[in-house]
Amino acid sequence: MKESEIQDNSVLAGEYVLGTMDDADRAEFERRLEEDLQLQAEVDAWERRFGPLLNTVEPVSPPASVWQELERRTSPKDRSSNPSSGLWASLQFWRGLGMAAAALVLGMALTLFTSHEGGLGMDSMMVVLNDKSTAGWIVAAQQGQGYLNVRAVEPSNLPQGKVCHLWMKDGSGNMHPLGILPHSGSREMPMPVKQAPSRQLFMVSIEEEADMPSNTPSQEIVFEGRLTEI
Amino acid sequence: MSSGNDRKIEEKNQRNQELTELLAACALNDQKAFARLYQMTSANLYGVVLRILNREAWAEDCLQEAFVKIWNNAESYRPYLAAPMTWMMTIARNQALDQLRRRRREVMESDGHTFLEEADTDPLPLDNLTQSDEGLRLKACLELLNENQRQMIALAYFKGLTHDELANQTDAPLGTVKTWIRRGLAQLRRCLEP
Repeated sequence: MKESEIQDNSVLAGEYVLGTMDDADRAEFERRLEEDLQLQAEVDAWERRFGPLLNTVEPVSPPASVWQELERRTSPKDRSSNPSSGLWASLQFWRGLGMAAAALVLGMALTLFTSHEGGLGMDSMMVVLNDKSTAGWIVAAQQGQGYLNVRAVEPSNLPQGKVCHLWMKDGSGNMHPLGILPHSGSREMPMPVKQAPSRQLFMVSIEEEADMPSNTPSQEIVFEGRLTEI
Repeated sequence: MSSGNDRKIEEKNQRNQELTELLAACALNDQKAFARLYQMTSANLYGVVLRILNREAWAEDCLQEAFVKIWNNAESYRPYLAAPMTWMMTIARNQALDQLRRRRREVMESDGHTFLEEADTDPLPLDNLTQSDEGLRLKACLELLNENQRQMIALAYFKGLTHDELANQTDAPLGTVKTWIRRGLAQLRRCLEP
């Protein structure tokens, strides 16, 4: 067997998954892993190769106390009572919902929007999910029109002094502030660039009302989406 | 293939399908789905962490942390990368190995002694690798390795022993241990993905 074959990244990933690296090598490998997608794929491949070994272990019922504690730790009450893991953890979820959930509520939102606006001629729209993963706002646009129409459906309940800020990333990757998502009713937001709105990526960040950024979100993005043609 | 086998495969697919749906529901904060997921998988995961940690109190802590991770990361589960059970058991195994390494470090720092488990004589459970096609393939490939390599793979995979600790425990020189493992891994990879 050639020396080169047993020194390559795949074998290294195998050692990592197997668990034989000492602390220093492991830390070094994990640093590389953070940036190297190919190395991550090698690790995934080894987890899969050895995976069947885990299925050979005899199941053992854990004591009931484990579930009781887990239930407490994952209850919504616990999430909101602890600001460091509560609100921000649920914002993480909000971001993680992704397009699948957005598609689920799109149908419902379409009904809502068309019944409110009755034939205003909007031709593309997007649902911005709230923190309960239902439709929080509807953003609609019409080709050739210089503004977006943003309507509140069921906005997220934010702590005092916080607002949801809508941003747009254009085709060249530049960020443009659009405005604050309304607590109720609807408002128009001017489109900063002339390209078709359906080609832009929209984002929402939670910002301090008293200290609004003007160039780029200062907080983490909790929602991303694109307009869908209707 | 016999109809009994077909039925087993069908049952496994249904279970995987249900687990995948439960993970998707957990990503949407559905606690009922989380309770069902726990009910369906906790004994498997507890078995794994108990095998690694060997102490009930540690294993209970570890199981809890593993499920909190599963709950918090459910949205990052990708069905095309791994079966749901493999994904969850990998989280549990990594959690257990992390905990074991931390405990070993604490013991070493406090009294300068190396923390070693009593020799783990459990052989690699090759005979149990017959429940799935992937298991059968892995079994055939592991059987091509020599006894030493198989034992080291078991000690590393289920006990997280490092090269150094493996050398201590098997009375083999460090360089030899490293070479055996690397060769074993390269052989396994070629055998599994020719």
